[in-house]
Amino acid sequence: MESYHFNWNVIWRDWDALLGGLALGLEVAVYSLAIGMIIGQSCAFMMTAKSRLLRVPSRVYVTFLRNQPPLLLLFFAYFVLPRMGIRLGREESVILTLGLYAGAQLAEVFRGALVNIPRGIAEAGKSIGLTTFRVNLLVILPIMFRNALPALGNTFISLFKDTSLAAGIALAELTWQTRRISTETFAVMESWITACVLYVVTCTAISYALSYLENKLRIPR
Amino acid sequence: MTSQNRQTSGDLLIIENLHKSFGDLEVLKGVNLNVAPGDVVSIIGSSGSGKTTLLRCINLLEEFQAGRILIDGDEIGYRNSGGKRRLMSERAIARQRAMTGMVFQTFNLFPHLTAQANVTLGLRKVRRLPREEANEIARTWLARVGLADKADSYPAQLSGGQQQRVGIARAVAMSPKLMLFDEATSALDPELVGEVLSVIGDLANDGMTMVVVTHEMQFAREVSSRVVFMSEGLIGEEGKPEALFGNPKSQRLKEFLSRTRT
Amino acid sequence: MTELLSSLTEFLVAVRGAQPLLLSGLVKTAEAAILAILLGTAFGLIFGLMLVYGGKILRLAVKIYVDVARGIPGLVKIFTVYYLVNQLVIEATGYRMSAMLCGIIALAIHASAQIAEMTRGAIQALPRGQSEAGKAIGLTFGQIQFNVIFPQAIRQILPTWVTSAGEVVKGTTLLSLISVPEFFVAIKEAAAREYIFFSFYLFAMLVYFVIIYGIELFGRHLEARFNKY
Ligand SMILES: Nc1ncnc2c1ncn2[C@@H]1O[C@H](COP(=O)(O)OP(=O)(O)O)[C@@H](O)[C@H]1O
Ligand SMILES: [Mg+2]
Repeated sequence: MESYHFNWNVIWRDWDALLGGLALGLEVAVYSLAIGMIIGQSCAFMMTAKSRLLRVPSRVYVTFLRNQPPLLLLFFAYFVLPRMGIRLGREESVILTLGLYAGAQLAEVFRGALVNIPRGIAEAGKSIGLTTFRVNLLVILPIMFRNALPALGNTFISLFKDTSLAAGIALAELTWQTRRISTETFAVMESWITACVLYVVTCTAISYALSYLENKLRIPR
Repeated sequence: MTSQNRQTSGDLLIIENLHKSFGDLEVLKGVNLNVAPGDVVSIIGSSGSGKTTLLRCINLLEEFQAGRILIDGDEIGYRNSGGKRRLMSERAIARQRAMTGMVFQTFNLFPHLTAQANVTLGLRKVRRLPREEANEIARTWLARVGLADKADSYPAQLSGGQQQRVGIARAVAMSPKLMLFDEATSALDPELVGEVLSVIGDLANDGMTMVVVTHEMQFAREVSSRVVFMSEGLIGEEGKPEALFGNPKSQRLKEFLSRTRT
Repeated sequence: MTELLSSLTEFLVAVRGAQPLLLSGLVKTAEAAILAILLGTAFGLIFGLMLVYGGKILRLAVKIYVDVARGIPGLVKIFTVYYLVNQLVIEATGYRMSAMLCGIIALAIHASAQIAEMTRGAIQALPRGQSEAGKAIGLTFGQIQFNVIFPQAIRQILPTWVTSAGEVVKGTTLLSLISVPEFFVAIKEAAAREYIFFSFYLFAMLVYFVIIYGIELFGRHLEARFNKY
C-alpha cells in the first residue's frame, strides 16, 4: 500500500474558487433567511389568529415542511418543477427551497416569541388609540423580533450549513468546489480538511458576530 | 425516637474552632458550639453572618479549612493520616451525612418523584430497607406531618407549606441523630408558615435534637432550649431564650433584636 | 376529474411495479437511521457526561469535538468520512468502508454532537439544591446521578432528542449523494423509469412526513407519559 503524499498546492491553486464558493453559500443563506423571515412571521401571526381560515392552512404548511428532508425539496424544485413549466436556475432553486423550509422552522420560533408577549402590552397599545394593525406593526413585531433573535441567529447558521446541499444540484458553492477538487486531483485529505476548516471558522465567526449583535439589540432588563 | 433513649454521655454535637472561607472571604472565624442530646438550639443573626454556612458544614455540604466537628463522639468529614488533615472518602461522607437530616430553605424536593418516593429514596438506597418497610415508614412520617393523603402527589402539585413538610418527612424518616433546619419557613407565604413551624415544634417536643436557623423570634423563644446569636462568623452570645431575649448583653444583639422586633 | 383519476391509477400501477425497489430503499433508510440514532445517542450521552464531569483536558477535548462536529454541515461530514476518513482507514488497514458505513458514521457523529450538548445542558440546568438534597440524605455520587439527576435530565432531553432523531432521518437522504441505495435513490430511479416525476416526489414527501412527524408524535406521547409532575 502506497502511503499518501500531501500536496497543498492543489488547494492554493483553487483557493479563489473555494472562497468564491463560500461567499456564494453565505449569499444564498442571506436571501433564504430573508424569505424565511417573511414567511415565518406571516405564518406566526396566522397561526395565532382567531380565524380558522388563517390558522389551519398555516399550521398545515408549517407541519408539513418542517418534517421534510430539505434535499428532497431541493430536487423537487430543480428537477420536477421544470417539467410542470416552472423553470428556476440553480441558485434560485436553492434560495426558494431553503427559504420555504426555514420559513416553516421560523414560524414556530416566531409563534413562540409571540405568545410569550404579555396580553397587556397589546391592550396598552390599543388604549393609547393605536389600531390593531399598528399595534402589531409598532409594538408586537419589534418585541417578537427581539425575543426571537437568538433562535434567528441559529437558523441563519443552519441555513448556511444547509447551502452545502446545493452541491447535489451542482451549484458551485464550497462543498461542490471541494468535491470537484478532491475527485479531480485525488487530494482528498487536503480538500476535505480545507472545507471542514472553512466551514467551522465561518460558523464560529458568524456565531460570535451574532452574539455581539444580540447583546446590542437585547431589550435591557 | 432514637435520640430519646440514647445512652451517650456528653454532647451529641461538638463544634471546635470551626474556620471556613470562600476564597479570600472568611465566613466562619472559629465557631465553638456544643449541643446536648434533646437540645433544641436556635441560631439567630443578621443575614450574611454565616448561619447557613455553619449548618452546611455540619452536614458536610461544605468543606472547611480548620477545626473539628464531632457527632456522637465521632469526628466527621476529615481524618488525620500521618499528621495531615485529609477529606474522608465520598462513601464515608455519605454515610455520615445520613446521620444528620437537613431541611432546606428552598425545599429541594425531587420533582420527578412523588411525596412518598421522596421520603423512601434515602430509606431504600442508603439504609437499604426493603420496599415495604420503607413505604411503611414513609407513610407514617407523611401522616405525622399531616400529609397522609398526599403520598402520591408530585411536588409541583403541593403548596409551599406542604412541600416543606415533605422535606421534613424526608429528612426525619432517616432517623437522624440530629436535625438541621435552615430558615425552613422563609420561602413560604406568611399564611403557610404556621403549619411548618408546628411540625418542627412537634419534633422538638418529641425530644429530637435540632439546630434551627430561623428568623421567627417568637418560635425561637417558645421552642428552643438554647438560643445562639451569630455575628460576623462568630458566636456572639448564647443562652436560654428568656435570658438572651430578655436581657441581651452585647450591643450587637441589642441592635439586632430591636431591628427584628416588630 | 376523470383525468385525475386515470393519472392516479397510472401512478398506483407504477408504484406497484416499483415496489421491490422502493421497499429495499426504505429498509436501507431505516437501517441507516436506526443505527445512526443508536450510535449517536450512546456516544452523545457519554460525551455529554464527560462535558459535565470530566477533568479539564477531557472536557476541552470533547468540547472541541462537539464544536467542530456542529460547525461542519451534515453533507460535508458525509463526504469527509467517505473520502478522507476512508483514505486513512485504507492506509491503516487496507480495508475500504462501504458508502453505507461511511454515511452511518457521519450521521452518528452529527447526532452525537447534538446529544452531547443537550445532555450537558440538561444536567447543568438542574438546580444545585437537587444534588445537595441527595447528599443530605446520605446518597453517594453514583446514587445521586441515577436516582436524582438522570431521571430529571432525561425528561429535559427527550423533546430535543426526538428532534435529533428526525434530523437523522432527514439526513439519510444525503446518503443518496454517495450512492447508497436508500429510499430517495429508489424514488428517483422509479420516477425516471416510469417517467412519472411529480407523483413519485409527492409520494416520497408523504412517506418522509409520516416517518418524521410520526417520530415527533411518538416523542410527545412519551413526554406526556413522563411528565406527571
Ligand atoms: N458559595 C459561596 N461562595 C462565596 N461566598 C459565599 C458562598 N456562600 C456564602 N457565601 C458568603 O458567606 C457569607 C455568609 O453566608 P451565609 O452563611 O449564607 O449567611 P446567613 O445564612 O447567615 O445569611 C456571606 O457573606 C455570603 O456572601
Ligand atoms: Mg442563610
